[in-house]
Amino acid sequence: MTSTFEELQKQLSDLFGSYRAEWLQEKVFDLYTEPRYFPELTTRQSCVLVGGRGTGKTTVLRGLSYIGQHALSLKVDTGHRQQPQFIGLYHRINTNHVAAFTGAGWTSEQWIPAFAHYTNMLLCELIFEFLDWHERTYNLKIELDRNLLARVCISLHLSAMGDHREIHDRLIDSRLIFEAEINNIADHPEIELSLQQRPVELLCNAVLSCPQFRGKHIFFLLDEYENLLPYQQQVLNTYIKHTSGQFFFKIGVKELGWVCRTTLQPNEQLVSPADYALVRIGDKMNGEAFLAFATEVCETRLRKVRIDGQQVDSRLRYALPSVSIEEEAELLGVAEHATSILHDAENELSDDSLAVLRELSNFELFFLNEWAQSHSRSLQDEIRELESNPTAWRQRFDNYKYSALFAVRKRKRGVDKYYCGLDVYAQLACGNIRYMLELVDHSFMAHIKSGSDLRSPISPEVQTKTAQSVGAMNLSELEGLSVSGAKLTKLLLALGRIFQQFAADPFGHAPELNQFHLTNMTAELDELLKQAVMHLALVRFQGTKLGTESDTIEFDYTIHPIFSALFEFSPRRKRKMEISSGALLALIENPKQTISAILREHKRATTSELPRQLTFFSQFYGNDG
Amino acid sequence: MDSTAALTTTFESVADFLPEPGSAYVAGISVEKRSRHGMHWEHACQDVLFYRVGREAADEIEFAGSSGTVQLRSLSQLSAFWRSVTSDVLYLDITGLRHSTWAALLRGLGDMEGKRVRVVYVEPDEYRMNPRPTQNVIYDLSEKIEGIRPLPGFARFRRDHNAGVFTPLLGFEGTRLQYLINQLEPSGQLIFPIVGVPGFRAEYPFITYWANRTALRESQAWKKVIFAPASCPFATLNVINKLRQEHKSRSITLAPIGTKPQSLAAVISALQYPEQVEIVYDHPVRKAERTEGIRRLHVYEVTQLVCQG
Repeated sequence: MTSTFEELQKQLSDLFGSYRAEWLQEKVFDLYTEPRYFPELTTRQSCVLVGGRGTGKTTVLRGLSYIGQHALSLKVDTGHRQQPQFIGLYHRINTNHVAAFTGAGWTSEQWIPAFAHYTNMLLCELIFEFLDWHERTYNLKIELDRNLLARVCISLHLSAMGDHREIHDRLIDSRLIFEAEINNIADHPEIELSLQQRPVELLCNAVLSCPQFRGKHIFFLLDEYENLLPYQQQVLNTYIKHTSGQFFFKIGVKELGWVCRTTLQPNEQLVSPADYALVRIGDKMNGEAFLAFATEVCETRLRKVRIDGQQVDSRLRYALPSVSIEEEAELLGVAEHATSILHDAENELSDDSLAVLRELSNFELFFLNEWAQSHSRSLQDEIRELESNPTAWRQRFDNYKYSALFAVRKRKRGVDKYYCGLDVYAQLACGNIRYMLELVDHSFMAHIKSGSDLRSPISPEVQTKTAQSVGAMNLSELEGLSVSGAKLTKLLLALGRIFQQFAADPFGHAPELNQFHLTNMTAELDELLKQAVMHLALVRFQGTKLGTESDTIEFDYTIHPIFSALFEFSPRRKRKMEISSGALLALIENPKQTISAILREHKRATTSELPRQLTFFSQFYGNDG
Repeated sequence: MDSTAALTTTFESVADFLPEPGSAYVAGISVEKRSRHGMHWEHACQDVLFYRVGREAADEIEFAGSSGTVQLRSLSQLSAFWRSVTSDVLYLDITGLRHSTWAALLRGLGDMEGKRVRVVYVEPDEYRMNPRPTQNVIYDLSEKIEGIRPLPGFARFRRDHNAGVFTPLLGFEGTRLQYLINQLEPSGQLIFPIVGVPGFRAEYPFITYWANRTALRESQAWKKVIFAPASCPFATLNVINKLRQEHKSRSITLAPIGTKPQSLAAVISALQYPEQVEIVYDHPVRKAERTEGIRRLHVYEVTQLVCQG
């Protein structure tokens, strides 16, 4: 039977389409690829896993959970240990739940004991749920020491005594009563609160004393730590600081989402590595490490695709061919420029000079001509310079040739700049596996929709248009990512337009200017930039290396590379400009005038013409379209 | 015959409406002109007690005049307020009240006996267009959102063993749907949005799709859209009940980000089934002049749905 287009589309959609671990549900473990840093999370120490949205935190934490470990142990090809030495209890922090511990005229200090009690109940329930699951899955009855369980009941003010099943039931009842008390907190109910951490310690002790679990330890896998309010992070930080050694916390948090590092003692900080191991996905997954991981993630999925019952070539590098700079220049139509330059030169230059020009490649000739024009020099001057010092000239060409690509195409039909190849896609994804899956998924979809065979490589043009559409899709999503979404979208549109115009006019300027450094910072802007980084509108990195401990960290910023194809600028991190906080805020409020002012400052003309893919935003830029 | 029709009385003009003599009328005045619709008919009322909510805070309201302050996270204070209202017929006009206020006031009616409770809602004539529309913000309705927190008295600390159903009741603000999906990260296969069909106006369902298209497309929830009339809480409640029945083992999270009549259905469902139904709300701050004009006025008979006493 022949695979139809719809069947292929469904296969790809099932394998690549669900970028979020939350959406994949149990299938997340079928497609699981273990990142290299995974072993660091399995140590008997609390860990804080920091990474942007879509970097795979949830997948990894769910992989550490008992359900994940069980599912992975059933997979024959993973080589996973059959019996991990830890019991991972996954919980995603629910904003709607934790936000109940605010308001009603109470201060954060007043809410702390109630939130700590909620946390005790939550962590104990996670343990009881594991015990239930373990009994059902292995058909083995678990008998915990009744005396130890009785102490758990006392610490939680539970009247019932009995086995863990009965206590679990009573705990659920107790939670419902507590819920009603919080809902009517202004009635000043007399809530019986447990002492922070005590019931958790007692229950962990009861479980780990049981023969089935002796020698193991418990990991509380808390995802989306940024959903906690600052005082709530302090409460959990205190758990982490004073953990008993039987249980540890593995925290998943977005970049800049861990806003409070102190415990409930204001002078007591959580310190790495003494209290926890910091695992920054961005550091672990840069460059080659991310490329290897992303390739494996995508190829694992590709290996499952069948056409007429047959596997397809699963090599991602084969599916996503790249083009060299010279090839790209040709694809962009540099030959047309070269012909025209030579034609014009025939009447002006000597035969010897023309011979020099004819020795050059089309792209070199285009560059030479553009360089001459931008420096108000003649072609003859440039030829002379080339002949007198060919090494220096070639070095200049090598330095500028990538940025020169952005100027080859002058708003004709087709692609203005190519974004293709596995390495470029990895660069656009910038360590973000969700972005990588989006790029690959959409490329394959566009490829087969254009009538091409899935088994053939995806053309540079399709890859480029996909990169643009994925950028546009993420731009439209940005509005809904945070309470500041609308401002972030406007900031991105304005900065994107500036970097696009810098890129389109590279000659006579520093090439690849696509970062900025703030000359002054205000509280309002600081908060907005934090949101921008947390929600992947911008990427920030340390601007200058710290000399001494007293040096203040200063950051440089750039637009996340996933948007570079949409705006058409280089995804490579190169040169930066300075911008004031006032100008940055003005980009949001008054984009047209501020963009023009910044372009003027950098000696660029403002053109009203927008790249085709940006015409939708012409109203924002104040253009007619 | 539609059984929900008997529970709704619709007036084509607000001037045609008068509360019953001897009733009590609880309302608030918001930044929208339509919330002041009482001025069209109030002078003609006889023997009606008016309670105006003068100040609305997150957890507390204050009545204009001498009726005092009510804590919204206090069932005893909410019940005491309603008990202090001696009329047997109670109107709660939700047009100009914040969700946190009217939802809490409805909760306070739970143990009332011998009362008839009617909810009043006035449709706007127009919603204000966004002068600089983006992909997801076509209309200019909210200044900002304060963020997710439970409506007062509606917090649930449920533990879900299965992935839950997420049902946003859609409006025109696509960014709010995006925000909720990003915050809650519900399972893509279990998002069942409700679109108001028919809408207040014929074109509104299309605008709803257009405004929410980014999130609907990304989550593929467009495949699972359910229709319920934008102005009918009872038909919407039926749809929610059907979802509950179809997903008995799952929790249902309702996000009332669409019309107020549909939001009313969500709140009633959360009051009726607290163990299965949870409300999630993002607390928008409404823009002044977000709507223009006044269309129809609806009176919903909700006694049996909110009073268990």
